[in-house]
Amino acid sequence: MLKVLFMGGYAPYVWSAYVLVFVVLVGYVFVIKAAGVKTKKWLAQWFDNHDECC
Amino acid sequence: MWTFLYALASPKAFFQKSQRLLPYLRFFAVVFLLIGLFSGLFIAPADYQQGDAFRILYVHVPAAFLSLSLYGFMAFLALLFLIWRIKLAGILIVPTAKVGVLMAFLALMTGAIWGKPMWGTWWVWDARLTSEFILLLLYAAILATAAAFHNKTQGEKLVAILVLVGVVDLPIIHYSVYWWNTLHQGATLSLFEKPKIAPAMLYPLLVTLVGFAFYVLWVIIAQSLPRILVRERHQRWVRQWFEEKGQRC
Repeated sequence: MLKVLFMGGYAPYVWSAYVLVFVVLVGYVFVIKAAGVKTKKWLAQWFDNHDECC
Repeated sequence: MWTFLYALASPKAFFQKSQRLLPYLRFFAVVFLLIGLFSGLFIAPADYQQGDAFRILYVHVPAAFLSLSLYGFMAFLALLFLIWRIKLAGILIVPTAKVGVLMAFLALMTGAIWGKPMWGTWWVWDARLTSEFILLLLYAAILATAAAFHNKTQGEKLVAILVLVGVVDLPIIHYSVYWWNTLHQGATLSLFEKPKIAPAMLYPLLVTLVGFAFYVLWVIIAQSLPRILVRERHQRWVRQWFEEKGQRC
Protein backbone atom coordinates (compact mmCIF):
# COMPACT_ATOMS: atom_id res chain seq x y z
CA MET A 1 0.00 0.00 0.00
CA LEU A 2 2.75 2.44 1.02
CA LYS A 3 4.67 1.48 -2.13
CA VAL A 4 1.66 2.49 -4.24
CA LEU A 5 1.31 5.81 -2.41
CA PHE A 6 5.06 6.43 -2.73
CA MET A 7 4.64 6.58 -6.54
CA GLY A 8 8.17 5.40 -7.26
CA GLY A 9 9.69 8.47 -5.61
CA TYR A 10 7.46 10.94 -7.49
CA ALA A 11 4.81 11.16 -4.73
CA PRO A 12 5.32 14.89 -3.96
CA TYR A 13 4.72 15.76 -7.63
CA VAL A 14 1.90 13.31 -8.38
CA TRP A 15 -0.09 13.94 -5.20
CA SER A 16 0.34 17.71 -5.29
CA ALA A 17 -0.99 17.78 -8.88
CA TYR A 18 -4.02 15.64 -7.96
CA VAL A 19 -4.73 17.58 -4.76
CA LEU A 20 -4.51 20.87 -6.68
CA VAL A 21 -7.00 19.63 -9.29
CA PHE A 22 -9.33 18.26 -6.60
CA VAL A 23 -9.27 21.50 -4.58
CA VAL A 24 -9.86 23.66 -7.66
CA LEU A 25 -12.68 21.55 -9.13
CA VAL A 26 -14.52 20.98 -5.83
CA GLY A 27 -13.84 24.53 -4.57
CA TYR A 28 -15.29 25.99 -7.74
CA VAL A 29 -18.54 24.08 -7.23
CA PHE A 30 -18.93 25.79 -3.85
CA VAL A 31 -18.18 29.17 -5.45
CA ILE A 32 -20.96 28.56 -8.00
CA LYS A 33 -23.42 27.44 -5.32
CA ALA A 34 -22.68 30.58 -3.25
CA ALA A 35 -23.06 32.81 -6.31
CA GLY A 36 -26.40 31.14 -7.13
CA VAL A 37 -27.74 31.74 -3.63
CA LYS A 38 -26.58 35.39 -3.75
CA THR A 39 -28.31 35.90 -7.12
CA LYS A 40 -31.56 34.39 -5.86
CA LYS A 41 -31.53 36.69 -2.83
CA TRP A 42 -30.88 39.68 -5.07
CA LEU A 43 -33.73 38.64 -7.36
CA ALA A 44 -36.14 38.16 -4.44
CA GLN A 45 -35.32 41.69 -3.31
CA TRP A 46 -35.71 43.00 -6.85
CA PHE A 47 -39.15 41.40 -7.20
CA ASP A 48 -40.22 42.87 -3.87
CA ASN A 49 -39.21 46.34 -5.09
CA HIS A 50 -40.80 45.91 -8.54
CA ASP A 51 -44.24 44.51 -7.84
CA GLU A 52 -45.72 46.35 -10.82
CA CYS A 53 -43.68 44.21 -13.18
CA CYS A 54 -45.24 42.17 -16.14
CA MET B 1 -33.66 19.58 -35.81
CA TRP B 2 -33.38 23.29 -36.66
CA THR B 3 -36.75 23.89 -35.00
CA PHE B 4 -35.41 22.21 -31.85
CA LEU B 5 -32.23 24.34 -31.93
CA TYR B 6 -34.19 27.54 -32.51
CA ALA B 7 -36.45 26.64 -29.59
CA LEU B 8 -33.42 25.92 -27.41
CA ALA B 9 -31.92 29.30 -28.28
CA SER B 10 -34.65 30.97 -26.27
CA PRO B 11 -33.42 31.66 -22.71
CA LYS B 12 -36.70 30.34 -21.28
CA ALA B 13 -36.50 26.99 -23.13
CA PHE B 14 -32.79 26.64 -22.34
CA PHE B 15 -33.44 27.36 -18.67
CA GLN B 16 -36.24 24.80 -18.39
CA LYS B 17 -34.45 22.04 -20.32
CA SER B 18 -30.99 22.46 -18.83
CA GLN B 19 -32.37 22.62 -15.29
CA ARG B 20 -33.58 19.04 -15.72
CA LEU B 21 -30.21 18.04 -17.19
CA LEU B 22 -28.06 19.29 -14.27
CA PRO B 23 -28.43 16.31 -11.87
CA TYR B 24 -27.46 13.87 -14.67
CA LEU B 25 -24.39 15.92 -15.64
CA ARG B 26 -23.31 16.09 -12.00
CA PHE B 27 -23.78 12.33 -11.57
CA PHE B 28 -21.83 11.40 -14.71
CA ALA B 29 -19.06 13.89 -13.92
CA VAL B 30 -18.51 12.39 -10.46
CA VAL B 31 -18.69 8.76 -11.68
CA PHE B 32 -16.38 9.23 -14.68
CA LEU B 33 -13.88 11.33 -12.73
CA LEU B 34 -13.72 8.86 -9.85
CA ILE B 35 -13.25 5.85 -12.15
CA GLY B 36 -10.79 7.64 -14.45
CA LEU B 37 -8.62 9.17 -11.74
CA PHE B 38 -8.59 5.97 -9.65
CA SER B 39 -7.55 3.91 -12.70
CA GLY B 40 -4.95 6.52 -13.67
CA LEU B 41 -3.44 6.57 -10.19
CA PHE B 42 -3.55 2.91 -9.22
CA ILE B 43 -4.39 0.62 -12.15
CA ALA B 44 -2.53 1.97 -15.21
CA PRO B 45 1.05 0.64 -15.40
CA ALA B 46 3.98 3.01 -14.77
CA ASP B 47 5.69 4.43 -17.86
CA TYR B 48 9.00 2.77 -18.69
CA GLN B 49 10.81 6.13 -18.98
CA GLN B 50 8.85 8.53 -16.78
CA GLY B 51 7.89 6.05 -14.08
CA ASP B 52 4.88 7.06 -11.97
CA ALA B 53 5.34 10.77 -12.74
CA PHE B 54 3.43 10.20 -16.00
CA ARG B 55 0.24 9.79 -13.92
CA ILE B 56 0.11 13.61 -13.71
CA LEU B 57 -0.91 13.51 -17.37
CA TYR B 58 -4.33 12.09 -16.37
CA VAL B 59 -5.20 15.52 -15.02
CA HIS B 60 -2.95 17.63 -17.27
CA VAL B 61 -4.16 16.38 -20.67
CA PRO B 62 -7.94 16.78 -20.02
CA ALA B 63 -7.38 20.27 -18.56
CA ALA B 64 -5.22 21.33 -21.53
CA PHE B 65 -7.62 19.79 -24.09
CA LEU B 66 -10.64 21.49 -22.52
CA SER B 67 -8.90 24.86 -22.20
CA LEU B 68 -8.58 24.85 -26.00
CA SER B 69 -11.98 23.31 -26.75
CA LEU B 70 -13.77 25.79 -24.50
CA TYR B 71 -12.18 28.70 -26.32
CA GLY B 72 -13.35 27.18 -29.62
CA PHE B 73 -16.85 26.86 -28.16
CA MET B 74 -16.71 30.49 -27.01
CA ALA B 75 -15.75 31.56 -30.53
CA PHE B 76 -18.78 29.66 -31.88
CA LEU B 77 -21.00 31.40 -29.31
CA ALA B 78 -19.48 34.77 -30.25
CA LEU B 79 -20.35 34.16 -33.92
CA LEU B 80 -23.92 33.16 -33.00
CA PHE B 81 -24.24 36.28 -30.90
CA LEU B 82 -22.74 38.75 -33.39
CA ILE B 83 -24.25 37.38 -36.61
CA TRP B 84 -27.63 35.98 -35.58
CA ARG B 85 -27.99 38.06 -32.40
CA ILE B 86 -28.87 35.03 -30.29
CA LYS B 87 -29.18 36.43 -26.78
CA LEU B 88 -28.47 33.10 -25.09
CA ALA B 89 -25.09 32.81 -26.85
CA GLY B 90 -24.05 36.16 -25.37
CA ILE B 91 -25.13 35.03 -21.90
CA LEU B 92 -23.14 31.77 -22.17
CA ILE B 93 -19.79 33.34 -23.15
CA VAL B 94 -18.78 34.54 -19.66
CA PRO B 95 -19.62 31.28 -17.79
CA THR B 96 -17.61 29.41 -20.44
CA ALA B 97 -14.67 31.80 -20.02
CA LYS B 98 -14.76 31.28 -16.24
CA VAL B 99 -14.34 27.52 -16.65
CA GLY B 100 -11.85 28.06 -19.47
CA VAL B 101 -9.56 30.16 -17.28
CA LEU B 102 -9.73 27.42 -14.65
CA MET B 103 -8.78 24.73 -17.17
CA ALA B 104 -5.90 26.79 -18.61
CA PHE B 105 -4.63 27.45 -15.07
CA LEU B 106 -4.80 23.74 -14.19
CA ALA B 107 -3.08 22.77 -17.47
CA LEU B 108 -0.20 25.17 -16.77
CA MET B 109 0.15 24.25 -13.09
CA THR B 110 0.00 20.47 -13.56
CA GLY B 111 2.33 20.82 -16.55
CA ALA B 112 4.83 22.69 -14.36
CA ILE B 113 4.56 20.04 -11.63
CA TRP B 114 5.23 17.34 -14.24
CA GLY B 115 8.02 19.39 -15.85
CA LYS B 116 10.12 19.69 -12.70
CA PRO B 117 10.99 15.96 -12.36
CA MET B 118 10.96 15.30 -16.13
CA TRP B 119 12.66 18.38 -17.62
CA GLY B 120 14.42 19.57 -14.49
CA THR B 121 12.58 22.89 -14.53
CA TRP B 122 9.13 24.22 -13.63
CA TRP B 123 8.91 26.49 -16.64
CA VAL B 124 10.57 27.23 -20.00
CA TRP B 125 9.51 29.82 -22.56
CA ASP B 126 8.76 27.01 -24.98
CA ALA B 127 6.29 27.69 -27.85
CA ARG B 128 3.57 25.36 -26.46
CA LEU B 129 3.87 26.64 -22.89
CA THR B 130 4.00 30.28 -23.93
CA SER B 131 1.00 30.02 -26.26
CA GLU B 132 -1.00 28.24 -23.51
CA PHE B 133 -0.01 31.03 -21.12
CA ILE B 134 -1.28 33.57 -23.66
CA LEU B 135 -4.56 31.63 -23.72
CA LEU B 136 -4.81 32.03 -19.94
CA LEU B 137 -4.23 35.78 -20.34
CA LEU B 138 -6.89 35.93 -23.08
CA TYR B 139 -9.43 34.26 -20.81
CA ALA B 140 -8.51 36.72 -18.03
CA ALA B 141 -8.84 39.67 -20.44
CA ILE B 142 -12.29 38.46 -21.55
CA LEU B 143 -13.48 38.17 -17.95
CA ALA B 144 -12.03 41.56 -17.03
CA THR B 145 -13.72 43.18 -20.06
CA ALA B 146 -17.07 41.59 -19.22
CA ALA B 147 -16.81 42.75 -15.60
CA ALA B 148 -15.92 46.30 -16.60
CA PHE B 149 -19.30 46.98 -18.26
CA HIS B 150 -22.32 48.00 -16.26
CA ASN B 151 -24.46 47.69 -19.39
CA LYS B 152 -24.19 43.91 -19.94
CA THR B 153 -25.58 43.91 -23.51
CA GLN B 154 -22.98 46.43 -24.64
CA GLY B 155 -20.27 44.49 -22.78
CA GLU B 156 -21.25 41.22 -24.42
CA LYS B 157 -20.70 42.70 -27.90
CA LEU B 158 -17.15 43.79 -27.06
CA VAL B 159 -16.44 40.49 -25.33
CA ALA B 160 -17.64 38.57 -28.41
CA ILE B 161 -15.31 40.61 -30.65
CA LEU B 162 -12.40 40.04 -28.24
CA VAL B 163 -13.10 36.28 -28.25
CA LEU B 164 -12.96 36.21 -32.05
CA VAL B 165 -9.67 38.15 -32.11
CA GLY B 166 -8.15 35.66 -29.67
CA VAL B 167 -9.05 32.65 -31.84
CA VAL B 168 -5.73 33.13 -33.64
CA ASP B 169 -4.01 31.62 -30.58
CA LEU B 170 -5.76 28.22 -30.99
CA PRO B 171 -3.90 26.97 -34.10
CA ILE B 172 -0.67 28.39 -32.66
CA ILE B 173 -1.11 26.29 -29.51
CA HIS B 174 -2.10 23.17 -31.44
CA TYR B 175 0.64 23.32 -34.10
CA SER B 176 3.38 24.87 -31.93
CA VAL B 177 4.93 21.44 -31.34
CA TYR B 178 5.23 20.92 -35.13
CA TRP B 179 6.14 24.46 -36.23
CA TRP B 180 8.92 24.96 -33.69
CA ASN B 181 11.51 22.80 -32.02
CA THR B 182 9.82 22.59 -28.64
CA LEU B 183 10.64 20.82 -25.40
CA HIS B 184 6.98 19.87 -25.11
CA GLN B 185 6.19 16.51 -26.72
CA GLY B 186 3.96 16.13 -29.78
CA ALA B 187 0.34 15.01 -29.66
CA THR B 188 -0.20 11.54 -28.16
CA LEU B 189 -3.78 11.28 -29.39
CA SER B 190 -5.01 12.12 -32.86
CA LEU B 191 -8.37 11.69 -34.56
CA PHE B 192 -6.90 10.07 -37.66
CA GLU B 193 -3.88 8.15 -36.35
CA LYS B 194 -3.42 5.14 -34.14
CA PRO B 195 -2.81 6.29 -30.51
CA LYS B 196 0.86 6.33 -29.49
CA ILE B 197 -0.07 5.23 -25.98
CA ALA B 198 -0.70 1.66 -24.73
CA PRO B 199 -4.41 0.77 -24.27
CA ALA B 200 -3.91 0.13 -20.53
CA MET B 201 -2.76 3.75 -20.19
CA LEU B 202 -5.17 5.15 -22.78
CA TYR B 203 -8.53 4.02 -21.33
CA PRO B 204 -8.17 5.81 -17.95
CA LEU B 205 -7.20 8.93 -19.88
CA LEU B 206 -10.32 8.75 -22.06
CA VAL B 207 -12.56 8.12 -19.04
CA THR B 208 -11.01 11.09 -17.19
CA LEU B 209 -11.44 13.25 -20.30
CA VAL B 210 -15.15 12.37 -20.46
CA GLY B 211 -15.45 13.10 -16.70
CA PHE B 212 -13.83 16.52 -17.16
CA ALA B 213 -16.17 17.22 -20.10
CA PHE B 214 -19.26 16.41 -17.99
CA TYR B 215 -17.90 18.57 -15.15
CA VAL B 216 -17.32 21.50 -17.51
CA LEU B 217 -20.82 21.21 -19.02
CA TRP B 218 -22.36 21.01 -15.58
CA VAL B 219 -20.44 24.05 -14.34
CA ILE B 220 -21.25 26.15 -17.44
CA ILE B 221 -24.96 25.42 -17.15
CA ALA B 222 -25.02 25.88 -13.35
CA GLN B 223 -23.44 29.33 -13.78
CA SER B 224 -25.68 30.30 -16.69
CA LEU B 225 -29.01 29.66 -14.98
CA PRO B 226 -28.77 32.51 -12.41
CA ARG B 227 -27.46 34.81 -15.18
CA ILE B 228 -30.51 33.97 -17.30
CA LEU B 229 -32.82 34.71 -14.38
CA VAL B 230 -31.22 38.11 -13.81
CA ARG B 231 -31.22 39.05 -17.51
CA GLU B 232 -34.82 37.90 -18.04
CA ARG B 233 -36.20 39.20 -14.72
CA HIS B 234 -38.67 41.48 -16.52
CA GLN B 235 -40.32 38.45 -18.13
CA ARG B 236 -43.40 36.91 -16.60
CA TRP B 237 -42.00 33.34 -16.64
CA VAL B 238 -39.10 34.31 -14.32
CA ARG B 239 -41.48 35.71 -11.71
CA GLN B 240 -43.71 32.64 -12.04
CA TRP B 241 -40.74 30.30 -11.67
CA PHE B 242 -39.59 32.23 -8.63
CA GLU B 243 -42.98 32.08 -6.98
CA GLU B 244 -43.45 28.38 -7.76
CA LYS B 245 -40.09 27.55 -6.27
CA GLY B 246 -41.00 29.45 -3.11
CA GLN B 247 -38.02 31.75 -3.36
CA ARG B 248 -40.09 34.78 -2.42
CA CYS B 249 -41.27 35.58 1.07
